[in-house]
Amino acid sequence: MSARSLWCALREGEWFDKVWAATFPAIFILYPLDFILKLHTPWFHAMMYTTGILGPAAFIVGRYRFLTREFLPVYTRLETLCERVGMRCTIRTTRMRWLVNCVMLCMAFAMLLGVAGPIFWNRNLWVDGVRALASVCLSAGAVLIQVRLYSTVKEADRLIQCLEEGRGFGELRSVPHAARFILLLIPRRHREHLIGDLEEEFSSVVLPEYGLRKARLWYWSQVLTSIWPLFWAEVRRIAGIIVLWKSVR
Amino acid sequence: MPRFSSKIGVDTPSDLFYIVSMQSRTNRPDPLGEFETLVLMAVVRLGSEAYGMRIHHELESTARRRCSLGALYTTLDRLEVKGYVASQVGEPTPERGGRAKKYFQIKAHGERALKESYAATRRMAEGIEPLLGGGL
Repeated sequence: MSARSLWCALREGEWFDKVWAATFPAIFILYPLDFILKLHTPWFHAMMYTTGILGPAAFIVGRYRFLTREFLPVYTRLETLCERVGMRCTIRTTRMRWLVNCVMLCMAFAMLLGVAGPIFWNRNLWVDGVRALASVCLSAGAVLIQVRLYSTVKEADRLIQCLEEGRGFGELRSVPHAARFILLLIPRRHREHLIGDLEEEFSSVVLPEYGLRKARLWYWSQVLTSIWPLFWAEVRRIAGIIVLWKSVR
Repeated sequence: MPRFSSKIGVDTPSDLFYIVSMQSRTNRPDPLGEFETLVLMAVVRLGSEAYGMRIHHELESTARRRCSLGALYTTLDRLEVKGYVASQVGEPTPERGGRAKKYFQIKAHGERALKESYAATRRMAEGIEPLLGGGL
Protein backbone atom coordinates (compact mmCIF):
# COMPACT_ATOMS: atom_id res chain seq x y z
CA MET A 1 0.00 0.00 0.00
CA SER A 2 2.79 2.43 0.92
CA ALA A 3 4.84 1.49 -2.13
CA ARG A 4 1.75 1.89 -4.29
CA SER A 5 1.02 5.37 -2.99
CA LEU A 6 4.66 6.33 -3.52
CA TRP A 7 4.49 5.06 -7.08
CA CYS A 8 1.20 6.96 -7.64
CA ALA A 9 2.79 10.14 -6.33
CA LEU A 10 5.80 9.68 -8.60
CA ARG A 11 3.73 8.95 -11.68
CA GLU A 12 0.67 11.15 -11.29
CA GLY A 13 1.58 13.76 -8.71
CA GLU A 14 2.66 17.35 -9.20
CA TRP A 15 6.30 18.45 -8.91
CA PHE A 16 6.34 18.49 -5.11
CA ASP A 17 4.80 15.02 -5.00
CA LYS A 18 7.51 13.79 -7.31
CA VAL A 19 10.17 15.46 -5.14
CA TRP A 20 9.06 13.97 -1.84
CA ALA A 21 8.29 10.58 -3.36
CA ALA A 22 11.83 10.48 -4.72
CA THR A 23 13.60 11.88 -1.65
CA PHE A 24 11.89 9.94 1.14
CA PRO A 25 13.14 6.52 0.06
CA ALA A 26 16.57 8.12 -0.30
CA ILE A 27 16.34 9.54 3.25
CA PHE A 28 15.18 6.16 4.48
CA ILE A 29 18.30 4.54 3.05
CA LEU A 30 20.99 7.25 3.26
CA TYR A 31 20.81 8.17 6.95
CA PRO A 32 20.88 4.64 8.38
CA LEU A 33 23.63 3.81 5.85
CA ASP A 34 25.67 6.74 7.13
CA PHE A 35 25.16 5.55 10.69
CA ILE A 36 26.07 1.93 9.94
CA LEU A 37 28.88 2.26 7.38
CA LYS A 38 30.32 5.60 8.63
CA LEU A 39 30.60 7.01 5.11
CA HIS A 40 31.84 10.44 6.12
CA THR A 41 32.51 11.83 2.68
CA PRO A 42 31.50 15.36 1.65
CA TRP A 43 29.43 14.30 -1.37
CA PHE A 44 27.54 11.76 0.74
CA HIS A 45 26.74 14.34 3.40
CA ALA A 46 25.73 16.88 0.75
CA MET A 47 23.30 14.30 -0.65
CA MET A 48 21.99 13.53 2.82
CA TYR A 49 21.26 17.11 3.78
CA THR A 50 19.83 18.03 0.37
CA THR A 51 17.34 15.20 0.57
CA GLY A 52 16.78 15.90 4.29
CA ILE A 53 15.70 19.46 3.59
CA LEU A 54 14.10 19.11 0.17
CA GLY A 55 11.96 16.07 1.01
CA PRO A 56 10.10 17.40 4.07
CA ALA A 57 9.72 20.85 2.48
CA ALA A 58 8.14 19.37 -0.66
CA PHE A 59 6.01 17.11 1.49
CA ILE A 60 4.64 19.98 3.57
CA VAL A 61 3.86 22.05 0.44
CA GLY A 62 2.23 19.02 -1.15
CA ARG A 63 0.12 18.15 1.85
CA TYR A 64 -1.02 21.73 2.29
CA ARG A 65 -2.16 21.87 -1.34
CA PHE A 66 -3.77 18.45 -1.05
CA LEU A 67 -5.66 19.50 2.09
CA THR A 68 -6.93 22.75 0.59
CA ARG A 69 -7.72 21.48 -2.93
CA GLU A 70 -9.01 17.93 -2.42
CA PHE A 71 -9.48 17.07 1.23
CA LEU A 72 -11.48 20.07 2.43
CA PRO A 73 -13.95 20.25 -0.51
CA VAL A 74 -14.75 16.55 -0.16
CA TYR A 75 -15.34 16.83 3.56
CA THR A 76 -17.35 20.03 3.28
CA ARG A 77 -19.62 18.19 0.85
CA LEU A 78 -19.85 15.21 3.19
CA GLU A 79 -20.67 17.47 6.08
CA THR A 80 -23.48 19.14 4.12
CA LEU A 81 -24.93 15.77 3.16
CA CYS A 82 -24.69 14.49 6.73
CA GLU A 83 -26.53 17.55 7.98
CA ARG A 84 -29.24 16.93 5.41
CA VAL A 85 -29.89 13.43 6.78
CA GLY A 86 -29.76 14.67 10.37
CA MET A 87 -26.26 13.63 11.39
CA ARG A 88 -23.32 15.61 12.63
CA CYS A 89 -20.11 14.97 10.76
CA THR A 90 -17.27 15.31 13.20
CA ILE A 91 -14.84 13.17 11.20
CA ARG A 92 -13.40 16.16 9.42
CA THR A 93 -12.32 18.12 12.44
CA THR A 94 -10.81 15.15 14.27
CA ARG A 95 -8.88 13.98 11.23
CA MET A 96 -7.74 17.47 10.40
CA ARG A 97 -6.34 17.81 13.90
CA TRP A 98 -4.56 14.49 13.51
CA LEU A 99 -3.10 15.56 10.19
CA VAL A 100 -1.96 18.92 11.44
CA ASN A 101 -0.18 17.14 14.30
CA CYS A 102 1.52 14.85 11.84
CA VAL A 103 2.61 17.75 9.64
CA MET A 104 4.01 19.53 12.68
CA LEU A 105 5.89 16.38 13.59
CA CYS A 106 7.31 16.25 10.06
CA MET A 107 8.43 19.85 10.35
CA ALA A 108 10.15 19.10 13.64
CA PHE A 109 11.98 16.20 12.05
CA ALA A 110 12.91 18.30 9.05
CA MET A 111 14.37 20.92 11.34
CA LEU A 112 16.26 18.27 13.24
CA LEU A 113 17.68 16.79 10.07
CA GLY A 114 18.35 19.91 8.09
CA VAL A 115 19.47 22.38 10.78
CA ALA A 116 20.76 20.40 13.75
CA GLY A 117 22.56 17.88 11.55
CA PRO A 118 25.35 20.12 10.16
CA ILE A 119 25.81 21.84 13.55
CA PHE A 120 26.61 18.51 15.21
CA TRP A 121 28.88 17.38 12.44
CA ASN A 122 31.31 15.83 14.87
CA ARG A 123 31.17 12.09 14.20
CA ASN A 124 29.25 11.65 17.43
CA LEU A 125 27.68 8.21 17.64
CA TRP A 126 24.61 9.44 19.53
CA VAL A 127 23.94 12.29 17.10
CA ASP A 128 24.33 9.96 14.15
CA GLY A 129 22.03 7.45 15.79
CA VAL A 130 19.33 10.00 16.58
CA ARG A 131 19.60 11.39 13.06
CA ALA A 132 19.26 7.94 11.51
CA LEU A 133 16.28 7.11 13.71
CA ALA A 134 14.63 10.45 12.98
CA SER A 135 15.11 10.01 9.25
CA VAL A 136 13.55 6.56 9.30
CA CYS A 137 10.60 7.85 11.37
CA LEU A 138 10.18 10.83 9.06
CA SER A 139 10.10 8.76 5.90
CA ALA A 140 7.81 6.09 7.34
CA GLY A 141 5.51 8.71 8.94
CA ALA A 142 5.26 10.71 5.74
CA VAL A 143 4.31 7.66 3.69
CA LEU A 144 1.77 6.70 6.36
CA ILE A 145 0.23 10.18 6.19
CA GLN A 146 0.02 9.88 2.44
CA VAL A 147 -1.69 6.48 2.64
CA ARG A 148 -4.04 7.78 5.32
CA LEU A 149 -4.97 10.81 3.28
CA TYR A 150 -5.76 8.79 0.19
CA SER A 151 -7.82 6.27 2.15
CA THR A 152 -9.65 9.06 3.99
CA VAL A 153 -10.64 10.79 0.79
CA LYS A 154 -11.64 7.46 -0.70
CA GLU A 155 -13.81 6.71 2.32
CA ALA A 156 -15.38 10.15 2.14
CA ASP A 157 -16.11 9.61 -1.57
CA ARG A 158 -17.77 6.30 -0.78
CA LEU A 159 -19.93 7.86 1.93
CA ILE A 160 -20.89 10.75 -0.37
CA GLN A 161 -21.87 8.28 -3.07
CA CYS A 162 -23.95 6.29 -0.58
CA LEU A 163 -25.71 9.41 0.69
CA GLU A 164 -26.38 10.77 -2.80
CA GLU A 165 -27.90 7.50 -3.91
CA GLY A 166 -30.17 7.53 -0.87
CA ARG A 167 -28.84 4.28 0.61
CA GLY A 168 -26.22 5.90 2.79
CA PHE A 169 -28.32 6.41 5.87
CA GLY A 170 -28.51 2.73 6.65
CA GLU A 171 -24.92 2.06 5.70
CA LEU A 172 -23.60 4.92 7.79
CA ARG A 173 -25.44 3.61 10.80
CA SER A 174 -24.39 0.02 10.46
CA VAL A 175 -22.47 -1.54 13.32
CA PRO A 176 -19.33 -3.59 12.62
CA HIS A 177 -20.47 -6.93 11.23
CA ALA A 178 -17.59 -8.91 12.69
CA ALA A 179 -18.42 -7.60 16.17
CA ARG A 180 -22.04 -8.59 15.70
CA PHE A 181 -20.87 -12.05 14.73
CA ILE A 182 -18.85 -12.30 17.97
CA LEU A 183 -22.00 -11.42 19.93
CA LEU A 184 -23.44 -14.77 18.86
CA LEU A 185 -21.22 -16.25 21.61
CA ILE A 186 -23.42 -14.61 24.24
CA PRO A 187 -25.99 -16.93 25.88
CA ARG A 188 -29.28 -16.78 24.05
CA ARG A 189 -31.30 -15.47 27.01
CA HIS A 190 -29.23 -12.26 27.06
CA ARG A 191 -28.33 -11.93 23.39
CA GLU A 192 -31.35 -10.13 21.97
CA HIS A 193 -31.57 -7.54 24.75
CA LEU A 194 -27.86 -6.85 24.89
CA ILE A 195 -27.54 -6.45 21.11
CA GLY A 196 -30.63 -4.22 21.14
CA ASP A 197 -29.16 -2.04 23.88
CA LEU A 198 -25.87 -1.72 22.03
CA GLU A 199 -27.56 -0.85 18.73
CA GLU A 200 -29.82 1.72 20.38
CA GLU A 201 -26.86 3.40 22.04
CA PHE A 202 -24.79 3.19 18.86
CA SER A 203 -27.35 4.77 16.56
CA SER A 204 -28.96 7.29 18.91
CA VAL A 205 -26.10 8.53 21.11
CA VAL A 206 -22.57 7.52 20.09
CA LEU A 207 -22.80 7.85 16.29
CA PRO A 208 -24.31 11.36 16.15
CA GLU A 209 -21.98 12.52 18.91
CA TYR A 210 -18.61 11.07 17.87
CA GLY A 211 -18.87 10.03 14.22
CA LEU A 212 -18.65 6.67 12.51
CA ARG A 213 -15.05 5.77 13.29
CA LYS A 214 -15.23 6.38 17.03
CA ALA A 215 -18.71 4.87 17.22
CA ARG A 216 -17.39 1.67 15.68
CA LEU A 217 -14.46 1.63 18.05
CA TRP A 218 -16.91 2.12 20.93
CA TYR A 219 -19.02 -0.80 19.66
CA TRP A 220 -15.98 -3.04 19.46
CA SER A 221 -14.87 -2.09 22.97
CA GLN A 222 -18.34 -2.78 24.36
CA VAL A 223 -18.52 -6.16 22.62
CA LEU A 224 -15.09 -7.25 23.82
CA THR A 225 -15.67 -6.14 27.41
CA SER A 226 -19.18 -7.62 27.53
CA ILE A 227 -18.28 -11.04 26.20
CA TRP A 228 -15.96 -12.03 29.05
CA PRO A 229 -18.29 -11.67 32.10
CA LEU A 230 -21.14 -13.45 30.34
CA PHE A 231 -18.86 -16.19 29.07
CA TRP A 232 -17.29 -16.67 32.52
CA ALA A 233 -20.71 -16.78 34.22
CA GLU A 234 -21.79 -19.45 31.76
CA VAL A 235 -18.63 -21.48 32.39
CA ARG A 236 -19.19 -21.32 36.15
CA ARG A 237 -22.82 -22.30 35.74
CA ILE A 238 -21.93 -25.33 33.63
CA ALA A 239 -19.11 -26.26 36.03
CA GLY A 240 -21.56 -26.01 38.95
CA ILE A 241 -24.03 -28.29 37.20
CA ILE A 242 -21.29 -30.84 36.49
CA VAL A 243 -20.11 -30.81 40.11
CA LEU A 244 -23.67 -31.20 41.39
CA TRP A 245 -24.38 -34.00 38.96
CA LYS A 246 -21.21 -35.84 39.96
CA SER A 247 -22.00 -35.51 43.67
CA VAL A 248 -25.61 -36.70 43.17
CA ARG A 249 -24.41 -39.64 41.09
CA MET B 1 -27.67 -45.49 67.94
CA PRO B 2 -26.75 -43.43 64.91
CA ARG B 3 -24.11 -44.81 62.66
CA PHE B 4 -21.40 -42.29 61.94
CA SER B 5 -19.32 -42.78 58.90
CA SER B 6 -15.89 -41.35 58.28
CA LYS B 7 -17.37 -39.15 55.54
CA ILE B 8 -18.83 -36.10 57.24
CA GLY B 9 -19.85 -33.21 55.02
CA VAL B 10 -22.14 -32.27 52.19
CA ASP B 11 -21.09 -34.98 49.82
CA THR B 12 -24.33 -36.97 49.76
CA PRO B 13 -27.57 -35.95 48.02
CA SER B 14 -29.60 -35.96 51.24
CA ASP B 15 -27.20 -33.55 52.92
CA LEU B 16 -27.35 -31.19 49.98
CA PHE B 17 -31.15 -31.02 49.97
CA TYR B 18 -31.23 -30.64 53.74
CA ILE B 19 -28.91 -27.64 53.65
CA VAL B 20 -30.81 -26.01 50.77
CA SER B 21 -34.12 -26.37 52.59
CA MET B 22 -32.67 -24.99 55.81
CA GLN B 23 -31.49 -21.88 53.99
CA SER B 24 -34.86 -21.19 52.45
CA ARG B 25 -36.69 -21.56 55.77
CA THR B 26 -34.70 -18.80 57.42
CA ASN B 27 -36.29 -16.41 54.85
CA ARG B 28 -33.44 -13.99 55.29
CA PRO B 29 -32.15 -12.42 52.08
CA ASP B 30 -28.58 -13.08 51.04
CA PRO B 31 -26.29 -10.12 51.71
CA LEU B 32 -25.78 -7.98 48.63
CA GLY B 33 -22.42 -7.25 47.07
CA GLU B 34 -21.38 -3.68 46.39
CA PHE B 35 -22.14 -3.82 42.67
CA GLU B 36 -25.41 -5.65 43.27
CA THR B 37 -26.46 -2.89 45.67
CA LEU B 38 -25.67 -0.22 43.07
CA VAL B 39 -27.59 -2.07 40.37
CA LEU B 40 -30.62 -2.54 42.62
CA MET B 41 -30.52 1.17 43.54
CA ALA B 42 -30.41 2.08 39.84
CA VAL B 43 -33.41 -0.15 39.18
CA VAL B 44 -35.31 1.56 42.01
CA ARG B 45 -34.34 5.04 40.78
CA LEU B 46 -35.39 4.36 37.18
CA GLY B 47 -38.74 2.78 38.10
CA SER B 48 -40.63 1.64 35.02
CA GLU B 49 -37.82 2.74 32.67
CA ALA B 50 -35.23 0.33 34.04
CA TYR B 51 -33.71 -1.61 31.16
CA GLY B 52 -30.11 -2.54 30.33
CA MET B 53 -28.76 0.62 28.73
CA ARG B 54 -30.62 3.00 31.06
CA ILE B 55 -29.31 1.17 34.12
CA HIS B 56 -25.83 1.32 32.60
CA HIS B 57 -26.16 5.09 32.09
CA GLU B 58 -27.45 5.54 35.61
CA LEU B 59 -24.49 3.65 37.04
CA GLU B 60 -22.05 5.70 35.00
CA SER B 61 -23.61 9.11 35.57
CA THR B 62 -24.80 8.88 39.18
CA ALA B 63 -22.57 6.27 40.79
CA ARG B 64 -19.64 7.11 38.46
CA ARG B 65 -19.07 3.40 38.14
CA ARG B 66 -17.85 2.15 34.76
CA CYS B 67 -18.84 -1.37 33.83
CA SER B 68 -19.50 -3.37 30.71
CA LEU B 69 -22.98 -4.31 29.62
CA GLY B 70 -21.99 -7.94 29.96
CA ALA B 71 -21.12 -7.49 33.64
CA LEU B 72 -24.40 -5.64 34.17
CA TYR B 73 -26.47 -8.38 32.54
CA THR B 74 -24.65 -11.04 34.55
CA THR B 75 -25.46 -9.19 37.76
CA LEU B 76 -29.09 -8.65 36.78
CA ASP B 77 -29.36 -12.34 35.93
CA ARG B 78 -27.95 -13.26 39.34
CA LEU B 79 -30.38 -10.89 41.08
CA GLU B 80 -33.23 -12.42 39.13
CA VAL B 81 -32.18 -15.94 40.15
CA LYS B 82 -32.05 -14.80 43.80
CA GLY B 83 -35.57 -13.43 43.38
CA TYR B 84 -34.65 -9.79 43.98
CA VAL B 85 -35.80 -8.47 40.61
CA ALA B 86 -38.37 -9.50 38.04
CA SER B 87 -37.98 -8.98 34.31
CA GLN B 88 -40.47 -8.28 31.59
CA VAL B 89 -39.89 -8.13 27.84
CA GLY B 90 -41.15 -4.96 26.15
CA GLU B 91 -42.12 -4.16 22.59
CA PRO B 92 -39.52 -4.30 19.79
CA THR B 93 -38.48 -0.85 18.51
CA PRO B 94 -36.91 0.19 15.17
CA GLU B 95 -33.93 2.03 16.70
CA ARG B 96 -32.93 -1.23 18.36
CA GLY B 97 -33.06 -3.08 15.04
CA GLY B 98 -36.42 -4.63 15.90
CA ARG B 99 -35.21 -6.05 19.19
CA ALA B 100 -37.17 -5.88 22.41
CA LYS B 101 -36.10 -4.23 25.66
CA LYS B 102 -35.95 -6.22 28.88
CA TYR B 103 -37.39 -4.17 31.74
CA PHE B 104 -36.45 -4.92 35.32
CA GLN B 105 -38.46 -4.25 38.45
CA ILE B 106 -37.48 -4.73 42.07
CA LYS B 107 -39.45 -7.31 44.08
CA ALA B 108 -40.36 -7.20 47.77
CA HIS B 109 -37.54 -9.63 48.59
CA GLY B 110 -35.09 -7.38 46.76
CA GLU B 111 -36.37 -4.31 48.56
CA ARG B 112 -35.81 -6.00 51.88
CA ALA B 113 -32.27 -7.02 50.89
CA LEU B 114 -31.51 -3.50 49.69
CA LYS B 115 -32.84 -1.96 52.90
CA GLU B 116 -30.71 -4.30 55.00
CA SER B 117 -27.63 -3.61 52.93
CA TYR B 118 -28.21 0.13 53.05
CA ALA B 119 -28.85 0.09 56.78
CA ALA B 120 -25.68 -1.93 57.40
CA THR B 121 -23.66 0.51 55.31
CA ARG B 122 -25.12 3.48 57.18
CA ARG B 123 -24.42 1.90 60.55
CA MET B 124 -20.84 1.20 59.57
CA ALA B 125 -20.42 4.67 58.10
CA GLU B 126 -21.51 6.44 61.29
CA GLY B 127 -18.60 8.32 62.77
CA ILE B 128 -16.17 7.21 60.11
CA GLU B 129 -15.81 10.59 58.40
CA PRO B 130 -13.36 12.15 60.89
CA LEU B 131 -11.29 8.96 60.81
CA LEU B 132 -10.93 9.29 57.05
CA GLY B 133 -9.92 12.92 57.27
CA GLY B 134 -13.30 14.36 56.24
CA GLY B 135 -14.37 15.30 52.73
CA LEU B 136 -16.91 12.49 52.33
